Amino acid sequence: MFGYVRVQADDLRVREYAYYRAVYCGTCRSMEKNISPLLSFSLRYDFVLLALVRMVLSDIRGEIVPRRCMANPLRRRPMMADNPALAFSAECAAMLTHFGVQDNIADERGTKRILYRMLSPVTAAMYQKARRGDDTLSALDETVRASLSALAELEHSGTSSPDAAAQPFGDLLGAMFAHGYNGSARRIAEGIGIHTGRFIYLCDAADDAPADEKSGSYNPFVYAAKEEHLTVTDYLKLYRERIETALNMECTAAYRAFALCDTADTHPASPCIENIFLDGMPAAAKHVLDMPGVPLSKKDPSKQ
Amino acid sequence: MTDPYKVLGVSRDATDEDVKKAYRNLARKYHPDNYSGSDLADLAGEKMKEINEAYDQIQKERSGKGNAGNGSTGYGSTYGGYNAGTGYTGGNSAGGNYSGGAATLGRARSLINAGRYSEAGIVLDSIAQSARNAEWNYLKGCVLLQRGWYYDAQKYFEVACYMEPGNAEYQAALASIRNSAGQYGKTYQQTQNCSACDLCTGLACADCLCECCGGDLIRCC
Repeated sequence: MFGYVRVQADDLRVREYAYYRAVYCGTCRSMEKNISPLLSFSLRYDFVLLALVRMVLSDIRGEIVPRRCMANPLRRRPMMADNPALAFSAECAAMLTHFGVQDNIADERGTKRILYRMLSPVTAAMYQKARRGDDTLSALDETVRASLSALAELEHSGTSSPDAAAQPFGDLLGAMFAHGYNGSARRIAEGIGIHTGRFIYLCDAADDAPADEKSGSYNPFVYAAKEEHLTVTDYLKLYRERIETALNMECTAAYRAFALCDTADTHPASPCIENIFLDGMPAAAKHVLDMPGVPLSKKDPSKQ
Repeated sequence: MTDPYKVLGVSRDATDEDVKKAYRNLARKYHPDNYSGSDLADLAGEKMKEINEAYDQIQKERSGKGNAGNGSTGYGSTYGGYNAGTGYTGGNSAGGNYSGGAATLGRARSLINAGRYSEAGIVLDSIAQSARNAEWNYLKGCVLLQRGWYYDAQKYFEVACYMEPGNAEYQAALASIRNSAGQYGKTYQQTQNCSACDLCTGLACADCLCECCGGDLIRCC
């Protein structure tokens, strides 16, 4: 589901990319230290973006320190020292991992379902730990649950509008990005989250469309293709420009919201965020539409 | 008051040209057209105002008090006087060829022009399927565009253009969304791979051209 919100490393300066790497490693470490080492396996680029955006909104510049990490214990790596933005990102990872596992238990069948059932107490414990550490998460919990049930309802109704189907996930990320902020910062964060969430959903839907057509799982593009009596592959080819424009518009809208942050021009995280919205995400969208179904590299961003 | 140089992101000893360049870049970034119909349009408007004021102040300081009144030299007035919703006014070329829905469509258009998009959406949905002409599709697209539903907005604009191919307003709406999407995405689209084959072909062509003119680029061939 995740992996489309990445940096285009080639277009970043060396120090900007080093900053991104430090936040990436810092988010991973925050998951490991604040919640559970197991949570580090759920680290995705989306959580790094969440941490970066919240660092800019809260004007946390952070301190980069050399630390050893679980993945590479022999060498110290420069990583962002723990801060509230990283900690919140780790809590959100625990929350989404828990809800993701619950969702899979409901959707999957056979061995996979058994595996997810076995995983469920672990993710539930991680989420509980995150909630114990942050009292404000209860409010977010309710919003996230409401968005997920709205999403399930829409998918059940079989809507053929990709925009309608993408909205609940946009709302979910909007609430997550904006959590704890007030006034204009809240509106800006919400705007960034909504468009990022919608982008992820639409990209994922386009990417999974051929597989979903075969398996019969819900996918708005499959339903839209059926309405026009086309196969989903033909539909994606025929309406390629419309889909790519919509995805690029989501990136543009997220960038325009971000540009309104007071510290957007001066914060060291800004070039990374701009790169994600203006280069990384459009490149991921292009890749998905060029080759739907072929997975994006899930490797470490330094090896892209 | 905030330092105008800080607002424009330039140092105090920057040249007039640098100040102008910084101002232009910021004005392009926060231009009201970029936030037209967005929930964040008011914040962008404030930012634009701040940038205009900073530029005017620097102009005043540099030109001396005698010329204080005409500091904005066009930019301030151009970007300052923005009125939300202007993008949807003026288009009425679809008149005459639809019967019952004309008055309702007119109402929906006025609601859109007044920035009352959700009410306009309700009015549009109340129109019968048979009366949904090109203008209905266009207005529906405008409502969806404001909501940030870019895929569906394009779909309706495309239908409007298909139903009435000569209508400039519908074509402009579709072109505008496509131009906006490509506004920033430049690097990854323009990057094309240059393989060893491309290099060799290029060199061979250059060699042929040189030989035509009596010279030689690669002696062995």
